[in-house]
Amino acid sequence: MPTLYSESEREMDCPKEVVIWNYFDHEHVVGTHYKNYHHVRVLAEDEGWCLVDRAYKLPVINFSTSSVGFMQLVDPHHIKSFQMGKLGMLLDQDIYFEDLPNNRCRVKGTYSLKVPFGFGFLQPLWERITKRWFDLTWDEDAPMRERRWKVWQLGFRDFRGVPYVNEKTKRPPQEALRPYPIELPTPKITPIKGEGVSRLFSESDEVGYSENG
Amino acid sequence: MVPENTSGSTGSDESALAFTCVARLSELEAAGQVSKWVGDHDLLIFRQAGKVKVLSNICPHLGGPVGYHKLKNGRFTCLWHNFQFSADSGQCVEHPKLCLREYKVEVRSDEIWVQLVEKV
Repeated sequence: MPTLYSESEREMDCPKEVVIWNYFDHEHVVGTHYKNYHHVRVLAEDEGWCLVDRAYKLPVINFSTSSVGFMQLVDPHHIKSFQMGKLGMLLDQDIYFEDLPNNRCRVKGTYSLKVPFGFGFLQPLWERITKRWFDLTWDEDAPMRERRWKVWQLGFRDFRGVPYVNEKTKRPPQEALRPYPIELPTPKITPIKGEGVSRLFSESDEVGYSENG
Repeated sequence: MVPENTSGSTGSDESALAFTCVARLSELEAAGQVSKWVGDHDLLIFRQAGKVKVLSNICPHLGGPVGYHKLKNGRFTCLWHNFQFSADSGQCVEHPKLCLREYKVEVRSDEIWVQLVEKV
């Protein structure tokens, strides 16, 4: 059977641990990626792996579909993912993380799809769709990751906020960078593990991220 | 872009409590709201019922930008996870224990001044 294949690579201005958090933070797909994702539901998860049902619209061909995907943090440099869509073909995906100096990282994603004999001609279309998807989601995830890293350095506590902001006091001195831990599964306070969560809207008047961010 | 100014400072403690100029009223004309980092504070500055208000733009859930979307029906919706906050109280609609800090504001001429630190 022929295999359709593509890969994409980009660099991030934050440590790989923040990017891994972003990959396992399933709730954000109907927020940050509200233009492309309709619904998401975590079917099962445990330390280092998850099984997730997602509904979304593919770019280029503008096709709405859904898939169930298994994702596992194999090690701190590698996420393995398998996704089964409505057409019954298995998408085999790898995401590799490389540490770079100055708390940066490089991320490489590969997409492999075995297709029936005679469908190898779809390779150019496959590359267009997967590369467009990678770039679309990357451009929406990058400011999220950078901001998460920024507020983390300000002392942010999940479900509480930044202590000195809430307490209306001066920011306490910080001598060293605050390391970002990988904690999976991520804590959740939405019904994503029950009925799932849906986007609130598909269009919005966007003001954007903060200036000077 | 407004330079950060402070006023009323005579000592280190008093200086920390001083108001800071964070924006001009004209910056609210386009969308009725603007968000910006001023020092270590991410501020969501907006006009509601003719009054200028400033809330923290940092969602207490996981840190997302509360003012990314335009205010609608009296609520801000955080971009990342869709948590909604009342523009009036800063309180989260879904989880009332999550609340945005409201900053003290003074409008001086066409400038918006905010007290970033209230306790020393």
